[in-house]
Amino acid sequence: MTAVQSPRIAHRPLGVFTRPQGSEGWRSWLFTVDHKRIGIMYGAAALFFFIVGGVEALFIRLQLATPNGSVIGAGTYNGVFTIHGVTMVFLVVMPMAAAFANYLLPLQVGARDVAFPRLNAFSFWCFLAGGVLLTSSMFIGGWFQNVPDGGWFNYAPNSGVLFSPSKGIDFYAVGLQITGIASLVSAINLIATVLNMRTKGMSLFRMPVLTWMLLITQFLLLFAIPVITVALFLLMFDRLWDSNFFNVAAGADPLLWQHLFWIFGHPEVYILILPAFGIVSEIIPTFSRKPIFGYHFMVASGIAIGFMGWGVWAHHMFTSGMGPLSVAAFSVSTMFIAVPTGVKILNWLATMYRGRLRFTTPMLYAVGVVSMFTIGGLSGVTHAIAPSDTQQTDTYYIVAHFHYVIFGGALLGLFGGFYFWWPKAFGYKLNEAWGKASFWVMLIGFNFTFGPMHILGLQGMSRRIPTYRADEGFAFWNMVASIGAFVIAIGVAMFLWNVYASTRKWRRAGRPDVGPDPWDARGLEWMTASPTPEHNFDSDIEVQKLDEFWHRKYGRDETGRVVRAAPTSQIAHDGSNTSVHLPSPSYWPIVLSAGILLVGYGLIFNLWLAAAGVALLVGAIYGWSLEPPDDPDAAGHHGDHAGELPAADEAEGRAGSPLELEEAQSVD
Amino acid sequence: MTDTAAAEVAALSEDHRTSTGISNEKLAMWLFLGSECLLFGGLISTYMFNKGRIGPDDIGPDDVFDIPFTSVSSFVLLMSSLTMVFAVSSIAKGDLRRNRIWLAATAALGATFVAGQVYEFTAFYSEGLGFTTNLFGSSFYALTGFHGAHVTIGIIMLMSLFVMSVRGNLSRERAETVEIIGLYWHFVDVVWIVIFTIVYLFPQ
Amino acid sequence: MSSRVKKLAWLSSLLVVSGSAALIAVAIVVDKNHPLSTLSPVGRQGREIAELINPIFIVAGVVFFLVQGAVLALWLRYRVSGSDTGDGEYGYYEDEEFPEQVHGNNRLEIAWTLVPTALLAVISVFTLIALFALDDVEASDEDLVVTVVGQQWWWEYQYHLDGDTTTPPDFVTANELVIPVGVDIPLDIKSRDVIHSFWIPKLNGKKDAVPGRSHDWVIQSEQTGRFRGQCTEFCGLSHGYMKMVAVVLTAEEFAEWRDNQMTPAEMPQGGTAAASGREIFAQQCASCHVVNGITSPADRGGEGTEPDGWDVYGEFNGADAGVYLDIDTLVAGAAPNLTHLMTRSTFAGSIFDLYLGAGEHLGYLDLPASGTLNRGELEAWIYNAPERKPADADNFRGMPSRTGLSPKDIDDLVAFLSTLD
Repeated sequence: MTAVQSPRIAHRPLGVFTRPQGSEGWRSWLFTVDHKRIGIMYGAAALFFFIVGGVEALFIRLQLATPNGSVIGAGTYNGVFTIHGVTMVFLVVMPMAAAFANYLLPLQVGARDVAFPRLNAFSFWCFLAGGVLLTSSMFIGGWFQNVPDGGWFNYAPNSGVLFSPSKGIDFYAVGLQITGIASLVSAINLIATVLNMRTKGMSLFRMPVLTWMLLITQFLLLFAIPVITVALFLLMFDRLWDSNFFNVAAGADPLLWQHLFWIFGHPEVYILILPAFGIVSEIIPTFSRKPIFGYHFMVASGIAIGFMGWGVWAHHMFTSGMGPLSVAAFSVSTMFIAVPTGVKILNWLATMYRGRLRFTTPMLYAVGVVSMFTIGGLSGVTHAIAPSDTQQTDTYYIVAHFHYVIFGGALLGLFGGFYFWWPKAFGYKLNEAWGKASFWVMLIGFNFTFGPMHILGLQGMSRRIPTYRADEGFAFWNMVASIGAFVIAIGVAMFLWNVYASTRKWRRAGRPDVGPDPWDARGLEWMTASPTPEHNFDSDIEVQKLDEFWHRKYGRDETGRVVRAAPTSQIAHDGSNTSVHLPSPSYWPIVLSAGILLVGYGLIFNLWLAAAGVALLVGAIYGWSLEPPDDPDAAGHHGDHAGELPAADEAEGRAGSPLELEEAQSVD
Repeated sequence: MTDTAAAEVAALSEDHRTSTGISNEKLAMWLFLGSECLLFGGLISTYMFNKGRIGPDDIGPDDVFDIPFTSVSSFVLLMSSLTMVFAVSSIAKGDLRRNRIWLAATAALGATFVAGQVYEFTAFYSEGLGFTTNLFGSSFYALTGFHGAHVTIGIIMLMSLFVMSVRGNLSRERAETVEIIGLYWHFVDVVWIVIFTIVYLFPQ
Repeated sequence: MSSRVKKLAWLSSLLVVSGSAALIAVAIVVDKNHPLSTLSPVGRQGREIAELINPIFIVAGVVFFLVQGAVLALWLRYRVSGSDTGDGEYGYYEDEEFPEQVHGNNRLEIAWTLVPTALLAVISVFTLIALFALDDVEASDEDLVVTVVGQQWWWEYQYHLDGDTTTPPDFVTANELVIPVGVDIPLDIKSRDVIHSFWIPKLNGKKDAVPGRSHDWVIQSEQTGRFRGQCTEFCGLSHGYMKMVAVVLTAEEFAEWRDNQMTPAEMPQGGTAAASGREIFAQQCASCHVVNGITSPADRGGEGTEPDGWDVYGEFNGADAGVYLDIDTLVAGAAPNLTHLMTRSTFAGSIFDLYLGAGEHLGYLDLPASGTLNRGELEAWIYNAPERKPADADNFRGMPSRTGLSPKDIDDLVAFLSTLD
C-alpha cells in the first residue's frame, strides 16, 4: 500500500488517509475521480485493446487466407479466435461505450460529475485489471500456452479441466468476473447519475437520445451482468474446486451453461449496439441541421429493444436440442425485435430527408452505421427463421452477421463519436481529410472482409476451423476477406496517425481554441468550453426544452424562419469559474482494483497470492471509508480557491450534485 | 415522528435533493438489489435445474434436510428484519442508545443464523454430502453459501454501524445510512424466504 | 450541384452498386464446386429449408436495396458542399438558411412500425409451418435408425436395423454415414465427451450432439452420391479436422453394403505379412480400436480388464448417452471400429482420402477391390498421427504416435488393415 504516494503529502503522519491533490502530471490521472478523465482513460484503454484484438484478427485472417494454412497451429488458432472475441466484446466495444457514457452522461444532463466519483474511478481501474488479466493470458507461461481456448461463449463441458487442461479458461472465468464487477458498479453509478443529477428542468423526455440509449444500456448491464457472474462462478467452482455443475458424468446438463450465458449474452448484444445508436442519433441531426425525427419513437424503440432483448436469448440455441415449442417461440420473438431496430433506421433516414447534409467525418461514420447495420439487421432476420438457422448457425454467415452488427454498427458509431466529441474533450478537431480517408479505407476494407463471409457461410464454411481443404471451394473468398482485413488495418492505422498528427499540429500551433461548439450541435455538452473544464459548467443550467442549447442559439423571426437568437459566445460557458468545489482525487480506487487483480491471479495460480490480494482489498476498503471527505489543505481544481471551504462532498453521493456544489466567492 | 422532527428531516433531505427526490445512495442500493435479484435468480434457477438430476442412490435433499432446525434458524433471520426496522426507526427519532441496541440485536440474530448454517453444513458434510459429492451438493452449497456470504457481509456492515455509533460517528443526520443497510438486510431476508421455500419446503 | 453532375453521380453510383452485385454473382458461379454448400440442397429437409429461406433472402434483398438506395439518394439530393471541414472555426455556418424543422410524424412512425410487423408476422407463419413439418419423418419400409455418436474428433455410427436404439447395434462404423437414397433416416445424435454438431449441409441443417442428451434428427437424400459434412460446434483442439461424409447408395447397393458390414473380419492366414500385422495391431492398436471377429475389448494391453457395462462395441450401456465417465476407463471402442476400414473412402475424421482419386471413377462399393490405396498418407498417419492431425494424445484425445514402429512393422500393419474390407 505504501507504494502509493502523493506528490505533496510527505509531511503528513497518516499520508494515505489524506487525499491526493493536483491536476497535472501522471499522478493526477492515476488518482483522478473526474468523470471526463476517466472517460478519456476508458477510451484510450479501449483503443489499446482494439489494436491488440485487431492484431489477433490479422493472425486469424493470415491463417485462413489460403487452404491448409500453416501460419499458426490449431491450438494457437483456437486461442487466438477466443481471445479476439473476448477482447473485442469485453475490452473494446464495452469500454469504448463506457468512455462516452462517462464523458458525456453528466454533461448531457447538466451535472458536474457522476453520482459516485470514486466508484467511477474504481470501475475504470477494475475494468483495466480484468483487461490486464485476460490479456496477460496470452504470454503467461509461454506464448498462447494459457490462453482461453473455448470460444468466447465457451460452451461446457469443453470448458472443463478434463477437456481444457491449461489455465486459459481460468483466465476467462476470473477475468470476465472482474470486468463484470466494473460494469456493474459503473451501471449503478451512471443510472443514479442520469436519474438523480439532472439539472433543473431536464425531465426524462428532454434528455438527448444518446443519454437515453446509454441509460438503457446501463439497465441492461445491471440485470445481465449478475447472470453471467453466476455462470462464471459455476465454471470457476467446477474448474478450481471440482464441483459438478457441468460434469455430465454426474448428471449435469451442459445446456445450463448455454442458457445462463445467452440470457446474459443476448442483452449484451444490445449493450454493445445501443450506445452507437445513441451516438448516431446525436450526429445525424447535427449535420442534417434538423432535430431528430420522432424523438419519442426513438426513445420508445430503444426501451422496446431493452425489454425484448430479454426474451430472445435461446435463438442462439436453435440447434442445441431444445424442444420444438421453445424453438418456435424464440424464433417468433426474435423476428419481432427487428421492428424497433427498423424504426430507428427509418427515423435516421427521415431526419436526413430534406436536411442540409454535411458529410463531415462523424457524419460519414454515422451514415456508415445506418447503411452497414441494416445489412447486419437483415441477416439477423434470416437467423430468426429457425429452420434456416440450422443451416447458418456456427458458419461464417453468422460471423459475417455479427461483424456487420458489432463492427459495422457499434464500432463505426463509436469511431464517429471519437471524431464528433474529440474537440469537446481535447479542444481541437482531428484532421478531416485524414478522417474521411480513413473512414473510406475502413469501410471498404470492412465490406471486403465481412461481405464475402456471407457467401462463405452459405457455401458451408464452419466458424472456428483453423483451416479448410483446398477442394472445399472456400479459397477465393477467404483470400478476399484476408486482404480486406489488412485494408481495415490500414484504415485504423490512418486513424491513429490522424490522432498523432492532429495532436502534434495542435501543440505546435500553440493550442488554438476550437470554441465550445465547433459543429453547431444541440446537446448541453456543447454549451461549455472545449476542452471541458474540470467543473463542466460555470453555473447550473435551467432546461426548458429538448435540445435546449440549440433553442438558445436559434429562434424564429416573425416569418417563421429559423434565425440566430444569440451568438454562441454569449450562451456557452467559458469555463472561467474557477471556484467550483470538486471532489478531491483518491488513492483507493486504484489500490482496490490492484487488490482485485491480485485475487484474480491468486485464484488461478496460488491461493496465498489471493490471500494477499484479499488483504490489500480489505485494506483498500478500510482506507476508502476512512478517507477524509476532502483534504483541508487541498486546493480547488485550479489551486487558488476553495481550499477553505467546508467539505461539501462529505458522502460520495452528494459530491457532484449540482445543487450541492458550493462556490467559493461567498467565503472569499 | 413528531412534526418538528418531520420538518427537520424534510429540511435535511432538502439539502440533498436530487432529481428523483431519492438520495443517490439509496437509489444505488435499490439498483444494486435489483441486480442481486438476477444473481439469486440465476443461482436458484441453477438449483432447480439440477436438483432432479441425481441418481437414485445419490445423497439427496430428503437424506439430509432437518426442516425443524432450518425453520427455527429461518425464523431467527426473519426476526432480525423486525429488529432492523426498530433500528431504523430509532435512529430516525434520534434515539442513538436504542439504535445501538437494535443494531447489535440484528447483527446477533444474523450471526445466529450464520452459525446455524455452519452447523447445518457440517452436519450435512458428515452425512456424506460435500460440495463435490454430486449435483445436488454443488448446487445446494453454492446457493446457500452465496446467501450466507451475503448475510455475513450484512453483519459486518451492521457491526461497522455499531462501532461508528459507539465512537459517536453515527447521528440522526446519517439515519439514511442505517436505512440503506436496512434495505440490504431486508432483501437478504426475503431472498432467504424464497430459498427456504424452494429448497427446503418443496424439495421435489 | 448542377443537374448534369447529379445525373452523373446517380449513374456512377448505380454502376458501382449493380457492378458489385454482378461481380458477386459471377464470382459465386465461377467459384463453384462447394461440397458443403447450403445453396444447392439434395435432401428433402435441406430443400424445404432452402424453399423457406430463398424468398426471405429476396425480401431482405429488396429491403437492402431500398435502404441503401435511400441513403444514397438522400446523400446525393440533400448534400451541401462547402465549408464542412472548417478546422477550428467558430460556428462555421452561422448565417445559413435552415431546412424545415420537422420533429416527426406520428402517422408515418406508426406506419413503419406496423408494416414491418405485418411483414414479419407473415414470415413467422411460414417459419412455423416449416419448423413443424421438418420434424416429421416420412414413413418407409426401412426400419433403420442410426445412432450418431460424436467424440473428439470423429463420428461413430451405430446401425440399428430394427430401429430399436435400446439394444446393441447391428454394426458400427465410423466417419462415413451410409444411407439408402430417397428414404428418411432418423438419427439419434449423442456425444461421448463435449458438444459437437452433426451437419451434412446438402441434406439437412445441423443438430448438436450434447453429452447426456439424445437428440432426434433426420436426414434424407434425393440423389445418390457422397456429401461432405463438418462438425460445427467448437469441440476443442481438432474441431476443424472433425469432418464426415454421408454416402447415399441405391437400395440394392445399400443392402449389399449392409450385409458386408455385418460380417466379422477374417483372421489372416498364418505366416503372411497380414498375420504379423495382426500381432502388432493387437499390441499397439487394439486397446482402442475394435475389429469384430479378431479383437475385442478384452485385448486392451493384453490384460482383459473390461469394465462392467461396456459391450463389444465399446458403447457404455449403463447411462443414456454413453459418456466416457473418465479417461481412466478408456477401453476398446474409444477409437473408430475398423472391421471394414477398407470400405470407407476416407479416414482420420474424414480428413484424408483412403484411396487416391476416391469415388471419382469407381463406385463406392468397388473401392476396396479396385481403388488405389493412399498408402503414403495411411502409413504417415499410423507412424505419427498427432503430426498429421492436431491431437492431445497424452490425455487420450486423438490418436497417439507409434514412432517406435519400424518401417516393416508399418508395412505389416497396412497389410493387415488392407484385409479389412
